[in-house]
Amino acid sequence: MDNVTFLPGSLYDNINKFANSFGYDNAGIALTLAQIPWKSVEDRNTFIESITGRPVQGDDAPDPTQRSTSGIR
Amino acid sequence: MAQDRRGGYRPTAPQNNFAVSATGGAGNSGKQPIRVAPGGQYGSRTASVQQQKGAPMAAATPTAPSPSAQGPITPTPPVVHPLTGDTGVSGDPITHGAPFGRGGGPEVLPQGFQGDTRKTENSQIVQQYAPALMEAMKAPNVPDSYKRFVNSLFKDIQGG
Repeated sequence: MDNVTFLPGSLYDNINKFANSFGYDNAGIALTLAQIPWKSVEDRNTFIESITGRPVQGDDAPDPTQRSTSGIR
Repeated sequence: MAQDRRGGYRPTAPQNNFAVSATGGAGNSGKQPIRVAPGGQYGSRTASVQQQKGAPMAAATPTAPSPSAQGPITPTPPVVHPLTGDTGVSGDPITHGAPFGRGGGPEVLPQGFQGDTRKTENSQIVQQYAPALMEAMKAPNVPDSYKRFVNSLFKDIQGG
């Protein structure tokens, strides 16, 4: 079954993109912006790119061979 | 000849109406004609005519149409500055002073604004959203970038 949690434009997809694009230290801003009901994924990405000046980060495909370093899955 | 009644004085004939110019343009020199309301006491009409002759009313000037005739007046909306546009004040980009984006970082901010509160904010976020963030980690095919983000958040908190 497809993962609906991280569907494009979903809350967790927004969190993933904003946190990785703005940096983990700016989690506060990232989580706040992730909760905005963006009109489209393109709108969100355009906003991110206009603020950061870089392409949107956080498009990593899941790698089942990688394990977390802090013990949290 | 009783039946022959043609001719005679015609006050409405153009040649008898001296107040109207045949070529147009002349007349009361741009002023309104003297008008007197009917009725009144004996002699009041003469007084009114004399008064109006002394200070004739100016010709009606074209006025702007009334708002009701024009429709509702729509105020001019203020100029909306784009969210990501430059401030235009000092030429600095919108992210000047922010820890990301174009322009200088937090070091360009005034002394009193340079306190880095991000660690405090992050710890508050973890406390508030930890259950939801952890729950999402259990979903299948979670992006690796999301895992790294959540791990980093908790690592910061555990590290003090």
